[in-house]
Amino acid sequence: MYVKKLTIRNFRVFDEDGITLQFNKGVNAIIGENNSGKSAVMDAIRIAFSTVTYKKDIFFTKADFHVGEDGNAADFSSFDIYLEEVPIRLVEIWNPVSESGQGGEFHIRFERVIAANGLEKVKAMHWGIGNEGNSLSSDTFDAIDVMFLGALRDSESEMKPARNSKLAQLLRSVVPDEDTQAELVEILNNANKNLLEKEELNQTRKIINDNLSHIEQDFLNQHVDIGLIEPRFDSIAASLRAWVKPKWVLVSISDSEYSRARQYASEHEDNRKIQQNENGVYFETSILENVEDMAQELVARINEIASSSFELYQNGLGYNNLLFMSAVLGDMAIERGEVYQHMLLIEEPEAHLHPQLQELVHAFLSDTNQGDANIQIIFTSHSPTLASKVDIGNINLIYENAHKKYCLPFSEANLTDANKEYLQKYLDVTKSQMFFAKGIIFVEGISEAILLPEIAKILDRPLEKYAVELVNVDSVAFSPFVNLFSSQSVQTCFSKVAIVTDDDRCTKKSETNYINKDFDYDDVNSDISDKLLSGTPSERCNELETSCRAVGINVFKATKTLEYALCCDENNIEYFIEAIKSEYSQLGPALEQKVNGLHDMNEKAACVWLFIRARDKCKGAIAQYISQIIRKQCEMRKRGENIEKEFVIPDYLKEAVYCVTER
Amino acid sequence: MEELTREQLSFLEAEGRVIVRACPGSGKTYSVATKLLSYLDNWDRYHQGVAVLSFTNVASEEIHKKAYLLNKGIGKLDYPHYIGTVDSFINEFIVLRYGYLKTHDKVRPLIALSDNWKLPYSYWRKECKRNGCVDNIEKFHWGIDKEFYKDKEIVSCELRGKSQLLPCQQYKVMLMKKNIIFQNEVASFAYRLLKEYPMIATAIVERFPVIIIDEAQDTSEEQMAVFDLLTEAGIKSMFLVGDPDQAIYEWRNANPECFKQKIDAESWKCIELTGNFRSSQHICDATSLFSATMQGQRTNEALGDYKDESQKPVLLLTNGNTETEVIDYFLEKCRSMDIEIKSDKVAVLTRGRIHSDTDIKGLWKSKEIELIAKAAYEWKCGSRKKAFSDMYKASFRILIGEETDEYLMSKKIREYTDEDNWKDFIIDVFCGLPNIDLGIAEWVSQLTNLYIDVLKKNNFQITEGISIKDIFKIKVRDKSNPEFKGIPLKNYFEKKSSGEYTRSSIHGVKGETYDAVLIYVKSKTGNTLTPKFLMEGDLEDELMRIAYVAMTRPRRLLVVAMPEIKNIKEYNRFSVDNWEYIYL
Repeated sequence: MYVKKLTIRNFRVFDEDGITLQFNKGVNAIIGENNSGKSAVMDAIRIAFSTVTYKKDIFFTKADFHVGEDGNAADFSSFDIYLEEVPIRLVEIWNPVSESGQGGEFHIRFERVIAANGLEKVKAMHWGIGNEGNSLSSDTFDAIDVMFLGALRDSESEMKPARNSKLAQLLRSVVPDEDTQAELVEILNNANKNLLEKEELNQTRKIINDNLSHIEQDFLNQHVDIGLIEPRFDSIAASLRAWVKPKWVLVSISDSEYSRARQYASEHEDNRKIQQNENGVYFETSILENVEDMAQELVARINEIASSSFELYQNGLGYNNLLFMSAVLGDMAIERGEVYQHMLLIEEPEAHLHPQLQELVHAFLSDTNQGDANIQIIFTSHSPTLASKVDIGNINLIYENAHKKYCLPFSEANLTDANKEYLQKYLDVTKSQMFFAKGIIFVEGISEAILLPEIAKILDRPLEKYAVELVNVDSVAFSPFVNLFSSQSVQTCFSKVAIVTDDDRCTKKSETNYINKDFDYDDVNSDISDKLLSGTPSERCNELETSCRAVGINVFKATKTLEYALCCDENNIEYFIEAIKSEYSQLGPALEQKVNGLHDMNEKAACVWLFIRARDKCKGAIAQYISQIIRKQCEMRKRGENIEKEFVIPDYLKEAVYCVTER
Repeated sequence: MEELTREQLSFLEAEGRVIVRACPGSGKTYSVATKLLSYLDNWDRYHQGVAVLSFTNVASEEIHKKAYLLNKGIGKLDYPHYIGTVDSFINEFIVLRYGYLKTHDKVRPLIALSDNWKLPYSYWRKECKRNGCVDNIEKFHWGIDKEFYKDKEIVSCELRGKSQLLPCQQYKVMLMKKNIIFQNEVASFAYRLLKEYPMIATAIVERFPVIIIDEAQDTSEEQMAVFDLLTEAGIKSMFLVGDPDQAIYEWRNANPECFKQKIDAESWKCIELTGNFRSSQHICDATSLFSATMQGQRTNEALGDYKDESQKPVLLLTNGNTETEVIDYFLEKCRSMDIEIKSDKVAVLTRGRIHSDTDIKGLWKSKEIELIAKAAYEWKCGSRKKAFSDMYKASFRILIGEETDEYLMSKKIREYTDEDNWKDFIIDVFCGLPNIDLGIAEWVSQLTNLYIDVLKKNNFQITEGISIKDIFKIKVRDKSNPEFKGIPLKNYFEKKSSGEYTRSSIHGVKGETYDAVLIYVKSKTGNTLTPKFLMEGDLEDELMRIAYVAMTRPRRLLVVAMPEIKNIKEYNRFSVDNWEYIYL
């Protein structure tokens, strides 16, 4: 059994239209910028699954009703949960007419009611399949085990010995039968007995009891016993603690077993679990798992040294986090007959973990689901590392548009299989950052990628400040991204998404405006510039515009190309020639001469464009050069200095920047 | 634990489709409870359980109590298991839960007892009104055979004009469009639902792999059809436990034939519990002649503590004696046998009301006053839960509107006031109720004042144009009993009184055991228990089964008192071998 779909209405940041998230078996991620409502989703799931149960660690309160921008609070909140692979014996939630035959659902609704004394109260209602009024009992929820690891989890204290520590819970799950429990208690009893055979301990006990009877004067006539812990199973569970064994153990030169250690080391020179230096012999503790030829004394000594171990608090935060997760998942993986669904909710599993460990955590979480363990994991994350690892269909993106929160489950995006494959490959750590941005600019190449951040600065709209992510698609393959942000249920995912592309006019051979591909700068003539003026955007560009318009993504296109568009200005063209000259010491001046001989502005621009087109590799360097110019001018402007020849930003780029940085 | 008989053991070990015929006193409740516990002790399934169903809340509470005692109070009887009534099982697990699939607006069906809506409809015929069909629309329903029924009769009126439906059918369709179904058609609704969505039956038997139905002779044909569908959906074990000779609920559509058919069916295994732990051998012998199914069979074997009781059943023939004389004789006889006169040991049984003077036709002028009167009686003498529920319904009708199902009612109450206020209001009424020993007319007048006061105190508004005095009305005069207004309210409801000894209708002591029982047949004539009927009436008649139930209650002393009639000794059923004759 697992959660397939969840609709949340009027809960905290989500309004009456609410949001709908889609989940799959296995590992699911909820991503989105800060304050987008990820934690609210987590709490909604927790509330939904604990409203009917006796044990609750979260409650719905009056403050949880959505408050609209007009300050009015909603008078109800609702959670609709849809499940799949529901065993039909769970008749309260199983749906007899679901598509799969194994669907199920339940519904939780909170209403604001005014009691007779005028005080506001929250009334909880819940029902299973069918309509309001159909019973939903806590027994059904015995089949569902929900565990939550919050963002501010204190792994250290959760792992500390306590009645409800994670270790205690795990032990209770591992040892459910009373016989084994009794055995454990017996062992402890014996240990206590052995201890008390020591005269000192007996004496300690006697002192206490003597004093006690002195105080109470035989009034209560009670006696105390002392020992390690009271011999009860719960106490054993509560006293469990975990610590990390040292990885390496040193048998030092002064150690009594040193000679044996050295001999063993020399016999096993190729064993990488043994190292020697002037301090002595180092053994990796795991070596003890498989040593038949090692002398007993040496084994004992290594064990002895290893047992002087670390306490949990001596571990790093990140490591404790891992320990904590493994204890929880270990507990979940133990089969309990009445439980059909394990759900682990983790807020920011990346907390305190470096990126490589994050990848390992993801791999671990995914592996946990192999086999029969029916564990569904839902995590919220700000980690591009994790986001880039999860299956694209298992991601829910939460975002805001026009004062409303939306959720885009990527499983619902209009992605083709080819799109999915492309994105899965393409969405690396850097590009996954766009999911956490407030705005995105997609560009097709290195030049735009270099220039746009500078242009944004000179427009006083620095991209960082507006949390805009610039994604270089490095081709014109924008369509997987357009599809990613479009679905039936979501019309506008990000209004602040812009695509900056070239209109690539005059490239179709069959058209009259076609400009020969082999032309270089000195082939420039008025025919070419006329064609550029009268040409129409390429089919590719038109199609992109059409598909983007449907989903509200704005496309900003350069007349012909970025370079051409930039060069259509007397000031800019000079900077471009300077840039080209710095790269091409001979051809540069030749180009300059050619350009100076031309009179028509468009012809000049065409000339520079033809030069760069024929020498594609220089694009990056030229862009670097130009970007420095822009940066310098930007600084000068800040200082209030006069700029002689101001670099002019073409309108389409201005608009692109304004579009994604609108407040 | 008591030792089980061979018969009881075979029931304990049985699985599959099993029918258990249990004679009176055979320890049926005990056997069912033991069977239930035998499952529970080793139950290793999760979210799956055993359902034990009876026909009345009292019976299911009895099983619960017995199982609880045998189990020494360990709470194993809860989820995943279910102990309840057949009606609540069908309502809860089939009709209310999945009914939305079949209702007009795809909502939870409204289950109603009667037509509280009175929808405007102008095509009734004269005969519809004349035959009382218009006012009894809750009796109509489509059966599982798709025929249209009024009660148990197929409606045979003729269609007129172009219409494809009779007026009653059209009206019924109008109700269905409002998602209303009546309690008496719940089973056929459930049947149609399961037929259309067989997965639901599969789910229910997955949820309850074992179902035990107690008093299965009281199932209606339609209920049995529902259980047949469940059986066919692959149930692990279905047990029908009952005694066709004790089927006395035909007025509630019970049909013992369904049970009898299964006794003979090949696909069902039949187990008989013939050992009687209650009565003496004399009583077993004498009563067997009144049982339809035991004709030509060995009489049941007495196995109980009093199996060797030497006192034969007594046939007390009266000749103009008063009720007191009859009862005094009976009590004296008890004393002579050292039977203590206590309400749980000694019972006097009559057919029907125990206060015969309270049968006033059309006594209550409104449903509301009848409900409140009943609630008042239950509050003092019966179940407070029932009392509360009746008062709740009556007040709902007075203040808010037609009663529907519990969920919707509480929703409407929240709209009207606060739930706590509502409860306080009802408790206020209960606290001020006039004494039920008052004459009925005086009681109603005091109640009216009280109700108006409590409304005022709680600030509850009553719909304009309606007056409490008009609602709280009873009949003004009655020809057959002019003094009825002075009879205490209590007497109108009392079906069983437990004073020095128990006085009850026969229906009120079903399943019970007494040391001594007097069955008092008062008159020679009428469509009720008469000497003639007992002597030569049809054994298949329900009235005979009612007599049989009564006669099989005592452990030691059975006394049948009736007016003397000629040649009685010649009738096999009252042979001098079986009966001791006494002339009063």
